[in-house]
Amino acid sequence: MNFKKLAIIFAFSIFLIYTVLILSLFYFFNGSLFVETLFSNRMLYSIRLSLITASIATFISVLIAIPAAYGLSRFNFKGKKLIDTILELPMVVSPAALGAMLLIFFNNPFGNWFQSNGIQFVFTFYGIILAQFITTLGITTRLIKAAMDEIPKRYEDVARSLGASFFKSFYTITLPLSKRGIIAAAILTWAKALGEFGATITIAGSMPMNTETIPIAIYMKLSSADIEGTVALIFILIAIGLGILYAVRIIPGKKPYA
Amino acid sequence: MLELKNLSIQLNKFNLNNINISINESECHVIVGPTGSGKTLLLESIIGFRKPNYGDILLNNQSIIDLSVEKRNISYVPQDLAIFPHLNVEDNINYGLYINKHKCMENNNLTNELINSLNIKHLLKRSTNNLSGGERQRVALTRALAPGRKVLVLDEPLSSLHESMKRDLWFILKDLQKKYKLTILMVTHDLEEAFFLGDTVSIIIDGTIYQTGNKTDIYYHPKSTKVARFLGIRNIFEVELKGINNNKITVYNRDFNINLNITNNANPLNEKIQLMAGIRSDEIMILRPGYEKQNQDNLLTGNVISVFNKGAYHTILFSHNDSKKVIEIEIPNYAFQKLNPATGKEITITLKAENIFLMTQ
Repeated sequence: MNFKKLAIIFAFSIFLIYTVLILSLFYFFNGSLFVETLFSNRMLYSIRLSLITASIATFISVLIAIPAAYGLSRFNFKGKKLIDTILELPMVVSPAALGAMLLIFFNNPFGNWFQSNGIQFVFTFYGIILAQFITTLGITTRLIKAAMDEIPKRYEDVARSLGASFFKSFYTITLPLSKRGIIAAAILTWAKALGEFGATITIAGSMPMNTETIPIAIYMKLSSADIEGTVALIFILIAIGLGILYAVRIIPGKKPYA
Repeated sequence: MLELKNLSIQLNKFNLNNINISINESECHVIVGPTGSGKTLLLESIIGFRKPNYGDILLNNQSIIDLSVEKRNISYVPQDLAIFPHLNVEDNINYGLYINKHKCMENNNLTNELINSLNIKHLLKRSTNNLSGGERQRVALTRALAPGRKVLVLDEPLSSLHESMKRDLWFILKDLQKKYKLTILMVTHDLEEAFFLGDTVSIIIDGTIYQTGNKTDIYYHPKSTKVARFLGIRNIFEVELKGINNNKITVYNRDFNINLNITNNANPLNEKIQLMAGIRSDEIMILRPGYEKQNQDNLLTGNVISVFNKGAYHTILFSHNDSKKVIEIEIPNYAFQKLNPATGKEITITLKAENIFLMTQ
């Protein structure tokens, strides 16, 4: 067997692993229960809550990540490597630990003051957004930076020599050229925020019709031994998540720059 | 118009040392040097991408060293041209006008003139991904000149083109320079391009400008062996100064054990430094048998060691009697056919007094 065939077999084995997991759900699948679960008030609330919080968290992440990624991609400055390393924090520290860090932060004097005089995060809708934002910001910045790294700096140099300021060269050259990369990063961020569980349950809790997102609802169903309900929720999450990720594969298309 | 004064730039372990160049209005100055000599680094400092460690850059007698790139009014065409891939040809050309809030292209006479001069009207609505190498060059030049800039900086923009297209653009660049009174600063490693386009030329090697000035002076009077070797001069000999009589200088060459007469010296002579003499391969004449006595200048008799056919020219390696030093001669095909200097044949050559130049080591 040559290496090419072996590599393709490995690629298919990955597909097989996940497909077997998905197919195994059908063992406990109950069509009428699925419809009932999907259209229950509690489930509709969870879906709506998940979609809204993931969208807001994604919007904030992307808004901060775009200038940050540009700075990291284009300029050399002291502390750049440190920032670059800390972007990986959400990947190396478990989401539950990140959530715990947020809880600890809001229990110190500054965090307490912030909650009393600003926004209440612990066990609230805002806590969900914060948890999703904290777990996605690093990866969003990393993805957008990768997109900007691929755009030769020479384009901006020429734009500046033609009279564009730093901001105008960014706005008229780099931003449109990295548009596809930014959209792809936003979609992946949104998908990650939608599936976020550990940090969300730690800081926002699992109150039905209040802070119960889809992943938390799955956990709650499972902990009450409601397997069929769990399967129904997993299918909903998979449908939304994979649908979005499939869109990412379609959007990047051909790079406009060589 | 554009003046570099004592410019020094350090990048990691590479240094550009004390660069002094002065370019007059409507003049094309070409900085020529081998790859890695610091040409692009120098241009980047002039445009404003890099701050020099020392020295000043003057444009119309005003220092621009502290101005940001966009305020220097210097248009730039990089080696890869950097045609914006997300804009079509027309929007690429209009970019400078749009950024500077000029009138739209329909009303801009200069842009229309440039579009017609460079023959790119039919390309305006095209995507930049489908342009040929020559079309890309024309679009990049139009884009650089459309905002009405008078100073154009070119970083080897023709290096990727094939010979024929490159030559077309040489003529276009010359026309543009004349028509719009452009002051052009260009870097290249191509000697032919440098001497065709440049009114003045600087030779840069390892971060140092070894010679700058009129291109004819540089071509005929290289000041050092480093410059001569870079210019492709292969016949370089150590000589000792023997005497100066009016315009005629006599030097002694140990390799061939002869005195050489020289009437073409432009460099200061100093007995304390090692003098070197050089002559271009294509300026050495092979004499027809029987014509030796009619030509009294620096005659050398010896044998042809080998002959190489270069297409339009033949390169002949010649050894004078027992000397180990080989002289390289280049003659056009018609002369080669007449003289037939085959390998092993004895020939007499003349190093004409006006074709030998003196320089320092």
